[in-house]
Amino acid sequence: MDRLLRAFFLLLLFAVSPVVTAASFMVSNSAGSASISNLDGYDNAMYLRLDVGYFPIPQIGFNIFINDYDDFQYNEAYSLFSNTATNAVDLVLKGRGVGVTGRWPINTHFQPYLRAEYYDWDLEARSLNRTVGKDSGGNLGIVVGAQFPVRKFFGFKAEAIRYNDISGADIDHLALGLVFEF
Amino acid sequence: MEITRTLPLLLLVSLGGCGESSSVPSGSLTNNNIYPNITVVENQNGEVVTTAVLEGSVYLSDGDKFYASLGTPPDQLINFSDDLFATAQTMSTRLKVMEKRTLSEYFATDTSAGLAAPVRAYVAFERGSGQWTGQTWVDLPPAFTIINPASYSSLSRVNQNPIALTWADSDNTAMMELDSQAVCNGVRYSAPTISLGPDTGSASVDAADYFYAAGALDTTCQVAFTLRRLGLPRGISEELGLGSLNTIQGTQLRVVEFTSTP
Repeated sequence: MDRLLRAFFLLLLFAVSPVVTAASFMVSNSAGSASISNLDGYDNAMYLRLDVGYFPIPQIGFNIFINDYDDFQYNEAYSLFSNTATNAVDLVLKGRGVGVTGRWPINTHFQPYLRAEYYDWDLEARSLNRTVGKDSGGNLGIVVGAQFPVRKFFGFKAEAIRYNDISGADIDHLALGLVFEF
Repeated sequence: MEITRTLPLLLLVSLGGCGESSSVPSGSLTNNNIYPNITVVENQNGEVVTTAVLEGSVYLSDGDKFYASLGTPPDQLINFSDDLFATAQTMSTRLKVMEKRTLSEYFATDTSAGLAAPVRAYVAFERGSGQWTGQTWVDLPPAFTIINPASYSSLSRVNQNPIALTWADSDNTAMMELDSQAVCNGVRYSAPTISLGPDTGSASVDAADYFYAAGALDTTCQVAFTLRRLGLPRGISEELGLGSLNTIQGTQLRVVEFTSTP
């Protein structure tokens, strides 16, 4: 049985070897911090993101992704009206999107990339034990990052993302993640 | 023995009837049996206090609530679909759930900083069931500044009587009234409210009126004038969806303190 399994995986490796040299699939998860740059008073929100991509050649890739944020919370300490009581408001953002990546495989351990994304999002504002606002939309985003391959199939990445005008907010992201490419 | 057992019980029963017996929770009333009178008062620092007094010893049940906001109607702050981040910011800072001050009096504080005149103050009411009965508003009267007497000046009750009370930015559509208090030798005296009539920017105030009970005292006192510009009260029953005969009124309030010598 073991010999059969070994033969199967060997066969699989030969089967995908042209992909490894010419084209590749990528799975990446990342976590980071998102901040709102054009409005004062919101705390940063942590977020998680999962990317699945396909690179027909090492320099160009296409990906789909989903992400989910901790709540953006309004911090009354920044309020112009901090002498008065405020209602806590939580904004819950989540979404999904597609992207096109241009990558420069400078060497085996450092590969900077630039990606244009379309982000389809849903946003909900909650306060006073109810939903007080809802919005949804789609925005273009820009991503600047770098991959740091450690092994042939595994590495790390760091990236910065900017989405403009998500229901009035320009949101900057900084994230670290794992990359599995095969 | 019998008395010692029954007396505490009788006392408890009688105490239980005190205070609460004539008070009614709003949850047991229909909308048209709730009568709030609302005042919105701004002082010289731009602090705005909205007060709603429920007539008939009614107090709010859990869930029933008044909302107050300045500049933006509450219904726009509790149900919005554009610019969520900016609107949520406004909602967080501007929409107030009015707090209980006494059994049937509710209040909220805010500031007019950042709002253009006339500042519009809104009040809304929501039942515990989630029913939004309605909302109403009042524009605060224009701001003004007391010119004379100057703050912390010293005025003689004999040689400078009557006092020429003057203020800038008069508004002849408003009515003015004056309250005064004096503290003499650690004792506080309050004079009855003086109606000054339509706002002409000045009034002559006699020592006998503002000094009242302290008038006969031959001592130096601290006096505070509280000058109010009253907007016209407006009926709000239909807008607020509650009982008839209730009103909302905006007021500008200014205080000046001075030393009053014999």
